[in-house]
Amino acid sequence: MRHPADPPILWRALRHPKDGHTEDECEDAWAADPGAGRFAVADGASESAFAGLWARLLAEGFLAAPRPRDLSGWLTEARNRWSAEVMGLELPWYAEMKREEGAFATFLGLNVRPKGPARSCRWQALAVGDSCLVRVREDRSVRAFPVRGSLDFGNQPPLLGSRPGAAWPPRRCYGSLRPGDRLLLMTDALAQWFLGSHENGGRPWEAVASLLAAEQPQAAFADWLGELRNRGGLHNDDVTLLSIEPGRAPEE
Amino acid sequence: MPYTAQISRSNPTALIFLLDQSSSMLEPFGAQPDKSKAAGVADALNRLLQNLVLKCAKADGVRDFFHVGMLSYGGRVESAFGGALAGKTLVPISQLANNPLRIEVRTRQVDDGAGGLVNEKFKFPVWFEARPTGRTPMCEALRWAKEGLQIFLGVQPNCYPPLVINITDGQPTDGDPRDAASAVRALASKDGNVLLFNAHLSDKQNRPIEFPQDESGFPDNFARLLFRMSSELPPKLLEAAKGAGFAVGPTSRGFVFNADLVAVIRFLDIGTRMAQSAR
Repeated sequence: MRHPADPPILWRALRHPKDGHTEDECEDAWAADPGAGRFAVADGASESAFAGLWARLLAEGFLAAPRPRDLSGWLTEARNRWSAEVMGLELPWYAEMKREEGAFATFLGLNVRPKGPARSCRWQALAVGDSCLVRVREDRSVRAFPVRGSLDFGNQPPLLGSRPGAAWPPRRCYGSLRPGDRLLLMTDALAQWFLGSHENGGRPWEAVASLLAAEQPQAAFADWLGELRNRGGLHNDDVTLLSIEPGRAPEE
Repeated sequence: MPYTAQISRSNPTALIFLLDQSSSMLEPFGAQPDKSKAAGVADALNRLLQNLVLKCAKADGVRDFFHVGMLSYGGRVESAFGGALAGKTLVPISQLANNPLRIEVRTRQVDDGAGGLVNEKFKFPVWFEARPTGRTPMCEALRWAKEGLQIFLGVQPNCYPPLVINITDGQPTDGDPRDAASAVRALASKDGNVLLFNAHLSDKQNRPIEFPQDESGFPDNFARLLFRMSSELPPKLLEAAKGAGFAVGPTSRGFVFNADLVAVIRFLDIGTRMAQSAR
C-alpha cells in the first residue's frame, strides 16, 4: 500500500487500433491503479475470438490480484470471468469453434512500490509474451524487458489462454524508479519500433515525450502512428502506450 | 518487392479452386482403395475452406480478407457453389461462412487419457459436394477463372496476387491448356502476377513429385504440361515449403504430380499459406 506522504505517480495511457479497424475492434487493453502502484497492458491475439475481452480481463485482473508477483489465483479468476461472459452466447458455427479454442493474449503487469518520501521507488514486472517494459533513465540509458532488442520479436510470442490448462511461466524483472526516469509499457509493434530506433542511434523517448506533452495526446498519437505506418516504420497492429514517471513528493 | 502486399479487409485477395469433376474422379486414390478421389478432394477442400473461415472469424463476424471461388469442370464448367451461393464465381468469405450447404456432425476417435479411445463428435461444414460426370474441359475452366479475376483485379488493383489452384486427375479434353494457363498467369495486381498452382491426383501408388524445380524425373508429357502451366513459388511460400521439409529450390513451382490424399492436403496447406499473414 502507498502512504499518503509517498510521491504521486504521474501516468498516461494511449491506445490506437490498427489501420482499417475501429476503436471498438482494438484488442489491446490497459489498466491502471496509481494509488496501488499497479499498471498492466495486454495484447489480444487477433487470430482468436473474444481476445479484446480477454486482454481487458487480464489487465483488470492483475490490478485486483492479491499476489501480483505471479499468476496464481487471479489468472483462474480472469478465466472464470471470460467463460461467464462468453460461454452462454448463441453463436454461428465459426464463432463457436473459435470460442472452444479460447482467446489468447500477451500480458505485462507492473507493480510500483514506494519506499517512503526520501527514497526511490522499487518496481517489479511480470510478463508473458512480447508486450514490453522499457525504462529510460537520464535521457539516454534504455533497459527493456522481456524482449531486449528489435530483432528478438517473433511471430509466435508466448500467450496466456482463456481456457483452463497450464499457462506459460511468466518472466520477472525488478528495478528502481528514480526522479527523471520514465517507464514505458508498450505492446509489440510500438516496442519494436522504439528499440529499433534506439539501436540505430535515435532517441525515440523524445518523440514519445512530445506526444504525451501534446495538447491532445490521443489525437497526436493517432496522427503520429499513421505517419509512421505510411513510412513503413511500424507494423500495422493495435498499439498501446502506458507511461509512468515519479512525481514530486508532497511538501512536508 | 512483389508478393508482399498486406492482406486485409481493405485490401483483400482472391482464391479460386478449379475442380476436375470428370468421371475418372470416381476412381479411388492408389493407396486408399475405399475412398474415391472426388470424395477425398471434397473433404480436403471443405476442411481448407473451414480453416480459412476460422482464420477470418471473430466473435462479431467474419472479416473479408478473401474472396473465394470454386469452379467444377466435369462435362461442363460451372460454379461449384450450391444453396444460397449457387451460380456465383467469387464470393466474400463472410458469405461463404454464413452459407454452407449443411453442417454435418462427424465422429472421430480421440485419446481418452487412460490408454483407450473415445468417440468425439465434431461439426464439419460442407460447401462442396463431388458429383463427377463426363469429360475434362480444363481450358474452359481456366478461361472462366481468368474472367472472374479480371473483374476482381479491376476492383482490387493493389491486392496480394490472387491464387488459382487447379486439382485434376487427367488430360484436358478441350485442347491444350497452356495458352489459357498463360493468360491467367499474365493477369497481375501491382503486387505481382496471378499465381496458378496445379495438383495432379494419382490412382497409382507412385511417389508424388512435390514442388519440383525442373522436369527431370517426370514420367510423361502430361506431367511436363502441368509443370509448364504452374507458377514459381513466391519467396514466402518457398520458405513455408522449406520449413515443412520439402526439398525445394529457388525455381520450385506450385505443382504436385501423382498426389495421394495426404500429398493433396500438404500441397493445399503450403499453397494457401499466405492466408496466415491476413490481418
